[in-house]
Amino acid sequence: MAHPRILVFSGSARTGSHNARLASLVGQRLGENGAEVSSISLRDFPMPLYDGDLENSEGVPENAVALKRLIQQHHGVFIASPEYNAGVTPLLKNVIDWISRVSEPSEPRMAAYKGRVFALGSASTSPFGGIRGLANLRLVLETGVGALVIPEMIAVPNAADAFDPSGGLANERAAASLSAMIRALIAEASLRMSKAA
Amino acid sequence: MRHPRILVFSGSIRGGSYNTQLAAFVAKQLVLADADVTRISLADYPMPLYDGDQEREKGAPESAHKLKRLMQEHQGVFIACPEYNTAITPLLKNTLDWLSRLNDPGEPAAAAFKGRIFAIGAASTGALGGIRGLIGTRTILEVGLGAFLIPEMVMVPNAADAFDDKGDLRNERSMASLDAMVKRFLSETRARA
Repeated sequence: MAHPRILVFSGSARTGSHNARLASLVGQRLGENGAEVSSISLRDFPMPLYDGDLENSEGVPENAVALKRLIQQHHGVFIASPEYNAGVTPLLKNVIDWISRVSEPSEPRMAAYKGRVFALGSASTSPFGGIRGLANLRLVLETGVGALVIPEMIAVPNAADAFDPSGGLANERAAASLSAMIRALIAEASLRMSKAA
Repeated sequence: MRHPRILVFSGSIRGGSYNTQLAAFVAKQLVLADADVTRISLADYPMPLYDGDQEREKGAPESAHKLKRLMQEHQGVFIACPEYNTAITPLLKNTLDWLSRLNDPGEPAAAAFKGRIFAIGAASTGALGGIRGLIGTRTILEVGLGAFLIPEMVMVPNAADAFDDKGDLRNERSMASLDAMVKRFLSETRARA
């Protein structure tokens, strides 16, 4: 069986970010379960804050086009999404918004979000594990940009103590929901292997 | 090509319900697109208001078991969701909540919601087409019940004038949202047929 390609990144570029650790763990587990994983940092795709005037005068930033094309080379995308004030981070929202503006003439609008499947997770120092931010992000992806998002999510509460020394999840419930999400993401990404480039 | 089996129902049982009209139209479009459609009315699956004491004493109502098994015979489920005070109807919420309690040995929790694809839509006499109710229903289905829901939804605003004599949608925008929903719904259910 061929291996679905899955892109993994975090909505925070902060050094030591709990969500970057979560992204790293998810990438590792996806790899162990047969996916071909590309892990990136949004730090390598800097973009100015979205501004319609800027877009009119200079077009979409090159990094948005590059990231859009990279997404299109994958059958699945996992986003580790930090929660800032019950919502999505400005860094991640800005990336999603710029990418929503990029389509080739032959493509549907918001092309990066079509033809592949998305999965979400969050790590948070709060006892809720960032679930409010995830609900917000799900809405943006689904009703805003038309992405297909699997229902399985991984929410890691009390993130400062959540990872064991090897980078795994100490909490059994979180570990079980991680495994369920990994299985579902790989199954759904595999379904799309004939469709995506 | 195999025909995906799709179950269609409305969250209202009122005679002349706009959402039942929407369910009928969606069913027709799905049949035209070669799906094998089962259309039901929740009037045929009556359930008392969910009550944990009653559940402990008598178990879930027979209608809930029947509907759960029926859902499990389909690869897709479309629900037309009326908006009451910006949110889901008590009838639909009660049905979903009872179903969520059922799983046979070996099945995951809320088994009726797993392993199939869901799509939702709404018709409303308001100008917004029931979108506020749909947003809340998305959260219930996805976050609450673990259902896999396609992003495309059909919304029919100003529902009193939305359907012509044949029951077809007059509004081009509503029709476009319906076409997009049907297209994705078919491709996702076919992949599981």
